[in-house]
Amino acid sequence: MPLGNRSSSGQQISLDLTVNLQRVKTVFSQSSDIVFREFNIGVGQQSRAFIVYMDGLVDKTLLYNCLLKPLMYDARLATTNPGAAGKNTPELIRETILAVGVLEETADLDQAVAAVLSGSTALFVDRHGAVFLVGTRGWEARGIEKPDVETVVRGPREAFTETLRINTSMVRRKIKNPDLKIEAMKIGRQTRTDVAVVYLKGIVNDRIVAEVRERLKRIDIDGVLESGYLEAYIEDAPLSPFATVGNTEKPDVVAAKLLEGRVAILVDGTPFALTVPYLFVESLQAAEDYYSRSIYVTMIRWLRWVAFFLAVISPAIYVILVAFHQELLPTSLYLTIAADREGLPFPAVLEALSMGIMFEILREAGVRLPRAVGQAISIVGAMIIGEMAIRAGLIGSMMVIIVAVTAISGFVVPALSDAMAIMRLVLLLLGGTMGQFGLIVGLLGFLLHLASLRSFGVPYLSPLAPLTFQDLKDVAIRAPWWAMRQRPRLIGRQNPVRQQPGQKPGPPD
Amino acid sequence: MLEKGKITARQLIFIMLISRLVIPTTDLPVLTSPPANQDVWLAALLSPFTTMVLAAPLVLLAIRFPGLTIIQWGPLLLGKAGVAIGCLYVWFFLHNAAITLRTAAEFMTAVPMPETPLVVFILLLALISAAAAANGLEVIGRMAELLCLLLLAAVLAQFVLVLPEMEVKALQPVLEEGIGPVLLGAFYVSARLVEVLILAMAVPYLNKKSPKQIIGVLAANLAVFTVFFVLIILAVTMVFGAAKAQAYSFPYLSLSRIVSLGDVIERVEIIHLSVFIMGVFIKVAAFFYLAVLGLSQLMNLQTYRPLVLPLGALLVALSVWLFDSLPELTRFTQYQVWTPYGLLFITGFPLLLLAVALVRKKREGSSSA
Repeated sequence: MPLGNRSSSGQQISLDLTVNLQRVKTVFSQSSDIVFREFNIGVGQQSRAFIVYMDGLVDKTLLYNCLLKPLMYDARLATTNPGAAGKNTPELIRETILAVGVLEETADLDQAVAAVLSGSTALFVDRHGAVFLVGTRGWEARGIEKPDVETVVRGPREAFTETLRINTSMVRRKIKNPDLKIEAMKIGRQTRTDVAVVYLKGIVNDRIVAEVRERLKRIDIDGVLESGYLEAYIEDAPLSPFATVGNTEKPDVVAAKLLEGRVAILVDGTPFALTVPYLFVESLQAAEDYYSRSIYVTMIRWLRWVAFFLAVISPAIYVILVAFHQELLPTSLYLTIAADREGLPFPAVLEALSMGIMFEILREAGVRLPRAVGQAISIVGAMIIGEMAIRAGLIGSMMVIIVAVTAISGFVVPALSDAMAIMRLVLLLLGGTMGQFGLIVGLLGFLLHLASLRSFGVPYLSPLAPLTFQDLKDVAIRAPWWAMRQRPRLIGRQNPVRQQPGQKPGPPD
Repeated sequence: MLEKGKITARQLIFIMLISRLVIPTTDLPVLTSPPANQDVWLAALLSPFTTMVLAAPLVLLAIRFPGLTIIQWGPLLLGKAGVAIGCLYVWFFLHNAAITLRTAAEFMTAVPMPETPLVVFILLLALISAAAAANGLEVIGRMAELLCLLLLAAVLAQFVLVLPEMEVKALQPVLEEGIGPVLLGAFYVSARLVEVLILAMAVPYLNKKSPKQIIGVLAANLAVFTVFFVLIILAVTMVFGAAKAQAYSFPYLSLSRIVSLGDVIERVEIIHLSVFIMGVFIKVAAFFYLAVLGLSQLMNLQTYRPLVLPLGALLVALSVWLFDSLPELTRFTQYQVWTPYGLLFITGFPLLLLAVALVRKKREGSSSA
């Protein structure tokens, strides 16, 4: 693969060390963090050699102790050893001297350059037509910390970091199974980002894995800085407000989804991993649902559905009830609302719209504010602005309540917040102009859109539609673990049985 | 392949159920058909049997040719004349969709939003139904799965809520005019069986096409529909009395106005309206889809997409132009006019096609006549 926009040199390693040195120096000209070290191998100038590495990307202890030291000091042991007679230097290097785990050889200069850029060290030996690539990766990375976005009350608190190898190791620790396959790819012409496709062979649907590979291979862009870039290129419905590719920053979530038969995509440089296929009902599930007691969680799940609907239709319903269909309200309630809205200058729709916009502004501002003042300003902003707006007679207090209900319900289902914002706006506009008819048509429109989506071949609304009763045990309720005997039907079809029956616990006989 | 999607038997049942239940929840034309008195519910109860008889030619043809839709049977069996029959069916589907749209629009204009012109409702509903149809049969099936249970629950809930207002006295005397008119009424009820045509068109896309499945779909549909239909009629008759119920343009809507539960749940017609709109959406989407699919099969197109917009415009125009007012619409859907018209398509043409098929011994997969 060509390296970025430079034309590839396609050069082979020359046998002359000085030529090689010149070529590599030209490639890395004007980079102050590249290090060249020339030395002799063994005692008495038997072989000249040099190494190239990128300062900051290599583990220097490994480099000095296991690469330079053996080559400079211990090589004489190898060469003076009677068993070494007849072996040439590269062979000795390869087999006896270098005490490292990852060792490759290549005759292609471009490959060597790419390896150096990833943290390996390139070892050029005089009169040897290949370069040794030693795995010496080690750089400063953020340690494993608590997740920022997906906090839990009960459950593991590790989150992914920005280094791919650490992330894959975290997944490995969850699933100690040789069938856990981690396929590597590099995506992005300039960035050459490492991407790993992870799946459990034997459980996953092979066609999905093939489809993922296919879509990733098709990507030809400059750089991949975050998994969101990949998401935009591989998703089924790029223009839809609903995501058909899931993301998470917790390794236990990834492991659970792998166990159901899904495929995970880890990207170097971001703690957010992608999971496919992603269904609508997954946005309403959380990791700790599976660690808490099933009856309580069932209730919470219903609550999430209620919150979702509240967050989406509350403003619209309020406007419809107040402006179009007053007869639906009990009389006393209507009188209260009418008194509240007495003398307000704006029609209900405009009120709702402006409050909605104010709320979105406050939310976005709350994210960007520096941590120290963030909390205070959001509270102050929300309360004071709301209070003053009511005092000034611009909006009614009912509207503030509605917006507050909407906002808080929206936070219950964070995965859908982008979609909910759009739905809320559309439904408010439709309801405000056409009353309840407009609201129904809007809801039907969104339902239609959801029904027509697929995520990597799986219908987006399953298991609700097509209705698979068996899968509803994880949607409508959260069945206790001993009842979850089968994997989701459409995803884990290859290996449907998850556990043996008859595991419900009970007191001993 | 024009339509790559597949639907399950259950989705097909749901589509058919919704399609059939939509009209009774609005203007309930069955109330004025024989026996036109408090025994109408008996007629509805007996209708499944007459329905099975009337639908027999269609079902037999479907079993005989499970890979073809009803539009394709015509050209296969009768050549050029068959194409003409196919065109008539396309018209019938469009007509049904247009009538449903118009009924819905009249419904919306009658009660909640009298000042909005009809065209707005028709346009919006047609837009969304056409969008659903353009997405294919699978999507319609999925939406039907979701919405049908809501519709059935709403009917049930309304029945339960009006129980306090019901008087069994209104059902008496039973069999006032004897069993004859009741049987005739059953016949007229089953003549409205247009959703069996949905079955006929959708059979090629069922994921399991055995005769048992096809008959099973019809039987399940009839069973569930009859139960709910009888419930609706019972509710309307027992609360209002037969004579008064006939006078209402929208008896079922008037029913939801009666509901009053402890001063809190009142005027629930909004709920009824919402559920009704969803039902109309499915029915119009289904019939419009059948029309588009049928026409593209007649014209041997690769995909039905280019027909959606033109037929959609035609649908809207038809809805607006066909009838000048609600009474005119109601008169058309009365049993005197509707029965021969509907029966022609449900039983007449299939009988003809079946006879031809038997005579020429054609079956699915046979090469020459």
